[in-house]
Amino acid sequence: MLSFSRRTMGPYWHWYAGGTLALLATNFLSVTIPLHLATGVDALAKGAAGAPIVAHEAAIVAVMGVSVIAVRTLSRVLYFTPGRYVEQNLRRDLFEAILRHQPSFLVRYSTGDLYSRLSSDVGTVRLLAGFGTLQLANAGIAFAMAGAQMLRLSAPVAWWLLIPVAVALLIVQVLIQRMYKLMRRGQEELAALSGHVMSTYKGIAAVQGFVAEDAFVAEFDKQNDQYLRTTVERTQVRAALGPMLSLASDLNVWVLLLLAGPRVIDGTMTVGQLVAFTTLVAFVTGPLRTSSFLWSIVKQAQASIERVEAILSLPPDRPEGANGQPSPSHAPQIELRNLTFTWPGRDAPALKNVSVTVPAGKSLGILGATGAGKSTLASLLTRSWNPPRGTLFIDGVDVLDLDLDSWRRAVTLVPQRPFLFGESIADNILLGREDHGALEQATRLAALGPDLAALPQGKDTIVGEHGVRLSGGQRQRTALARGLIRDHSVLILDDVLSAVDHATEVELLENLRALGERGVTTVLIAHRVSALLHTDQVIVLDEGQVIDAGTPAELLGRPGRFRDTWDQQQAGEAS
Amino acid sequence: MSPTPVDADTRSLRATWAGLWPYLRQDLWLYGLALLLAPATAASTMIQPWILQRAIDHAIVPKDLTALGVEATTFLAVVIGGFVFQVGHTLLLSLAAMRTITRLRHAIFQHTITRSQAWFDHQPTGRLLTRATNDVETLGETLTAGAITIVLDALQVVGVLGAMFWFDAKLTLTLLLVAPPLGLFLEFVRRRLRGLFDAVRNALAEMNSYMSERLAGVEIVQLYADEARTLGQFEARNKAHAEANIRTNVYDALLYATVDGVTSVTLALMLWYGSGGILSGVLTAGMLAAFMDYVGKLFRPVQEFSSKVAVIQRAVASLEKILGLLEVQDAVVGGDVTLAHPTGHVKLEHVSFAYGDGPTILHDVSLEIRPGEVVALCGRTGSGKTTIGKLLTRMYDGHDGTILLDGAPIETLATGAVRRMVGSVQQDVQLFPGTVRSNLTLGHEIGDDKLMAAVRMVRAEDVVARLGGLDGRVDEGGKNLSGGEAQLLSFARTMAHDPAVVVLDEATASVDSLTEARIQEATSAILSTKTTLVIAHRLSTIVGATRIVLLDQGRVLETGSHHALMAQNGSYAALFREQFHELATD
Repeated sequence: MLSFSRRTMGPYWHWYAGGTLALLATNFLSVTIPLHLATGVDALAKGAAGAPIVAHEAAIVAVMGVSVIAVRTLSRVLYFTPGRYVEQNLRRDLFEAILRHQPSFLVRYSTGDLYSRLSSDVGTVRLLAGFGTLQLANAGIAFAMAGAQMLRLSAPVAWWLLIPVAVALLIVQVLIQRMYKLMRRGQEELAALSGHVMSTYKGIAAVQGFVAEDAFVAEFDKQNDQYLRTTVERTQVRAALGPMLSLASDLNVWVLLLLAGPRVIDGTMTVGQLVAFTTLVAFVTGPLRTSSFLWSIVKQAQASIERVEAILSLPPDRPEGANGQPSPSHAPQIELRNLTFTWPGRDAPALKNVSVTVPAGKSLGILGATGAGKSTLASLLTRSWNPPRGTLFIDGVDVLDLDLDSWRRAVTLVPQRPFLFGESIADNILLGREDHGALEQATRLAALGPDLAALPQGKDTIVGEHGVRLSGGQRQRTALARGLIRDHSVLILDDVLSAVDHATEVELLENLRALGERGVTTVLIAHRVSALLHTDQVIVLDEGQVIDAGTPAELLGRPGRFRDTWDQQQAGEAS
Repeated sequence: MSPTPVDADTRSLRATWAGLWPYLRQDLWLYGLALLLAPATAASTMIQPWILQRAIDHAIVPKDLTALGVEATTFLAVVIGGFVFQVGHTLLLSLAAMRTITRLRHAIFQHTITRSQAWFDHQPTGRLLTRATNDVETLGETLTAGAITIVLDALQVVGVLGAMFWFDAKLTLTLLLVAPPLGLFLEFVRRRLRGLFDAVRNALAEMNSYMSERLAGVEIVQLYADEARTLGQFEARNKAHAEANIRTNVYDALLYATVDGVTSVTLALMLWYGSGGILSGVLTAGMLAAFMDYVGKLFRPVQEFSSKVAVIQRAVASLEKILGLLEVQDAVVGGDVTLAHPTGHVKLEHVSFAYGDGPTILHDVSLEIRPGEVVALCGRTGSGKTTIGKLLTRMYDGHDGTILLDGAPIETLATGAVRRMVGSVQQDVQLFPGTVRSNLTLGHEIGDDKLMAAVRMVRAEDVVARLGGLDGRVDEGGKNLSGGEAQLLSFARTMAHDPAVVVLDEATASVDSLTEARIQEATSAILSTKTTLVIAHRLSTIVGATRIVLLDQGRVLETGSHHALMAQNGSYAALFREQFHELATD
């Protein structure tokens, strides 16, 4: 935690130093004011003779009061501003780290988890770097200065005042521990409740269709009531917490009456000093109140720092060889050599001894059922996950020896589940490119033209969150256009033709074949045979193994999975 | 039934709080009890400085130890009494507020899940979830922490001022000299802050939505080597957010510090007053101590006021959105007729339909399904096939023409009765986290025998067995099932509910061919036992149907059996050849 603070807050040390100077001034003024008040009060007792002294002291107090405004403001600005910078830097670093980490790393975290690290955890760190540090410094300085002042006024009285403060702080700490425990439990229950709400909304057609609204409301109520019970328990703790601190400072006034009162009576203290004491007691109430929460801020920040560091501290999980040779700019030959791959945490390999060579500029079709390893192969080809060394060669060079960025630029994968950003269709396809001529060509190739013509705003249509305003087929073709617009030499299409009708499928396949002639090595993954009929060669995957290979014509011409599937799919459509 | 957007709502502040009334009415006694304790709490605050004054002026200065003992004891009693009252007050109010919030959350859930399908089609689920959870939480936080203490604060400010006047009106008036400039200054700062806080909120929303979207699409960002541009766009938003916050810092700090400093200035005024500089008053040490205490108690609520106002503003915004959601009327309103033993006779007479003000989806469609028949709907995408199914299950309403179920107009029947009579099998399978059983029954009382019979009927025994029987676990969205397995469970669910009519959407995207064969088997099983309207994609279904209805852009183009329509050699025959035969000979 210290090294983390040094790293993130260190660069802003001059802000903090300035802020600390301002705090010293603020607290010095604040504890000096009561002394002038005391002198004033004691002068008051002298009647007319003391009047000039009283006026003099009043003027000093007024000037000091106005100065407090200036230095107090300064101290807060000087602490809070670097707090924001620390937050901004940390959030950028974290976001960058997330972008740089590869799927093999990121798969361990859910999107929601990463989001909460970026928003609430980074926010908690800011709370520590700004507010927390300010309060820590302020409380330290205030206690030290007020304490010194009180000791000077009367040491025995000052020591006695510590008792209510210490007892209250102790009780408050116990209560805070309990409250945080209840807060955590409440958060978990709220998360479960949200989960129920979310899955109900997602399945609303079934809920309504089966007249199950009452049952789902009953389940909701059960969880809602459980959450209520937890929050009520939390409230009981919280209701005692705030008043407890006021109680401590009120009790201190009582202690003053009991201890300082007799001292004034026997003449060892002046009335002015008693008044000064009450002012100082009131002055430390603020820092006392905030400092009781400091410990929990620090604890929370500690947990947040751990969660942020978990992602920051690890070297970006770039597959080995990330800084190797540049990738070929022409359509390369792709060779899989005895490729076996097992997903981490699984027993059975997803791919077993897969060997196939795709000549430069040619196309490979991959047919297989769900779970046959098709998408795994796509992930390895793009090096979202690294294949084992010596199993995947590009123009004879092990893919692991290629520079990752240049390989990613050379390869385009259009994934099975298209993800669209909530911006316009054009922005989704262009992804920052400016070339609108290319946009037109890509939409034409992806057979998206008629869709754009039918949409009121055409290519400027905002697709909505995750593309909700487009149909499944439109989403798929937009994703396809996004892939086709890139200058790539390898194109991998992972089952992108599943949501298009027959006529569009034919058109798309025709367009893709034309691409091959322009110098692109193509891998076409499908579960429908009709999509693969125009490829140069096909492998059939089953449970990660190649069970058949050949040209589509060869495979259709002999018994086997390819022809069986074809027959079955035909039967499904034309029994 | 044009869908109402959730956020398009502006209402007066009063109307907004009034909207909360139905949810807090039942806890009125709790709120009332809490409010009763508030004056007692405030009184304790007011009395303490007074006792302090008496102790100094009447006991300490006259050197009377006995009197000091009495005053000190009274003081202790008042302090402890105040503590008890304050705890009680806070406790009761929070309890009341939380019960209100729980009721409101229930109302949101209950209300939303009974809205029409057409409305849901236009709602991003994430936003609805935000209403039901985050917005309610924000409101709850405010009710328990912010809005409530503001009552006590106000009472305290008034009480303390009253006590001060009672003590010494002239002194108090002198002290109040600081009030107008302070008030003006605070108002100026607050105005500046309001605009700046709006900017902060916008910047935050902008940054958060960018963040969550790019995280969800991180795969695309990486695959398409778009990291640098994404990082740049993110940093711009991140920076805007930080800067918006930094701009509030000075004002925020001023607001806080001013109150601190003004307390001292007030004390100085008091001394000045005491010195006879302005009026010849009599100021005792005890009064000075008491007034210092009062001034502190006067300014603390003022200091916290602005942050509380910000919290309350956030809560009002949340409440507005929640009330907007609760006012959404897009629900299918049914009649109250129920059918004891539905036979499953469906008749559409001249039915036309459009979603809200959108283009007409169905034009003058008439068709009949008699008990035991299988009617197949065919047509290209957008021909209106799916819409007919949604009208029959009352997912949409607002049609022209007549839809009769067992002779009764559909809108006169209770919505639940219609849906019990007409079950549907969706293309988009919806499974819930829970067990196989809970997914099949969806809360209805259906015995295990009946469930297993349905499972066997759609040949899903091995799916259920693999999951561990009826008690087997089903994950969120059916993630532990393949697409085909989920489809089979969904078939079983419909069969277990035993509707008189089944609307079956046959399209099976992204299912491997082996599963496809099994689904086809299950489909045949359903078709042979149920009155069915099938949105047909397979030829086996079409050929076997009692009647085929070909739709084109919402109109019935041709009706008849497969052979009759083929013989007619019209649009159906053309579509048939295009979709099935050409492919086969390609």
